Amino acid sequence: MNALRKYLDKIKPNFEEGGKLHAFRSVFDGFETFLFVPNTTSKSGVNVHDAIDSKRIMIFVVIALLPALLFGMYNIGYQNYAAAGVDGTFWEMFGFGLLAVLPKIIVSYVVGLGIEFIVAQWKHEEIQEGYLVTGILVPMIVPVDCPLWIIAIACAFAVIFRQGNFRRYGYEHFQCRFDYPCVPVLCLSYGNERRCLLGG
Amino acid sequence: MTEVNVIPEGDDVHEIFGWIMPRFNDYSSSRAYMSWLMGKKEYALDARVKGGERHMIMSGEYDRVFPMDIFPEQLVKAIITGDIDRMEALGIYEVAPEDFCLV
Repeated sequence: MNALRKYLDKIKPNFEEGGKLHAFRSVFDGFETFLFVPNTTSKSGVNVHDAIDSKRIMIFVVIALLPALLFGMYNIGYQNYAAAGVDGTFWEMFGFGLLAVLPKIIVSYVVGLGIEFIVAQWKHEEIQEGYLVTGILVPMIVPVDCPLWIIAIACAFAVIFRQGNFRRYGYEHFQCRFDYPCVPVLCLSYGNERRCLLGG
Repeated sequence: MTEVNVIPEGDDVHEIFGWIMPRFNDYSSSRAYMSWLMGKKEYALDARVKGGERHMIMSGEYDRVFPMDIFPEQLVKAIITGDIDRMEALGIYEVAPEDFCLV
């Protein structure tokens, strides 16, 4: 642990203003705070703070969502095997659901966090953890046959509109986690469904 | 009576994986920290903020711990947006900075 801390301290100047890797400052900062709790101290006013921070809040929301996610994976496999009229073991069903859902989670996080990293770097901010929750909610609310490109658009839409444009205070009514991913997902899924129904 | 409390600065402490470790020794009013399992325990508080600068999350934490009958989170937002009328309406004159020290 100490060696890791020393290594981070050693490479940190590269990411500061004027360093050769300054373009990746937000990424380094995100990685550093992922490994170690920031030990900056309060400079004025009240000195004692509650230990809660947004990384902890968001990760605990994700943990709370995991049972529903895991059951959803099992259920997808179960429905598939039931529809096919084939007997499957628990792990076969779960595996089927896992393989159906995992690409959605990966696409959601890669697209969303990618945009989040770029925006944070561009605006010289720290990376916000809000997307950790959004990124798991989006794959959980879409239908299982939802194409990956719809999820990619939904995530990009959610991050850009929710976190990019309306980040300022006093605009909370624009900051709902669900609304923005829902818009393209619903539009595009509805379009897909209609096409299927019309035999197109 | 004047009372002076001295607490450690804490900037020499490096806690690893703070987002997932149980963290029995960190005081929090939230149960996201496992220190609530330890019952009544004495904590060595320090001056660390234990986080970076983020946008405000409406979590209801203030409402839970605030002794006064006001809307603390709405008040903080009014202060951030600089809306003086709303600050007065929400009771800015009744609070001191120390009232908000928990979070």
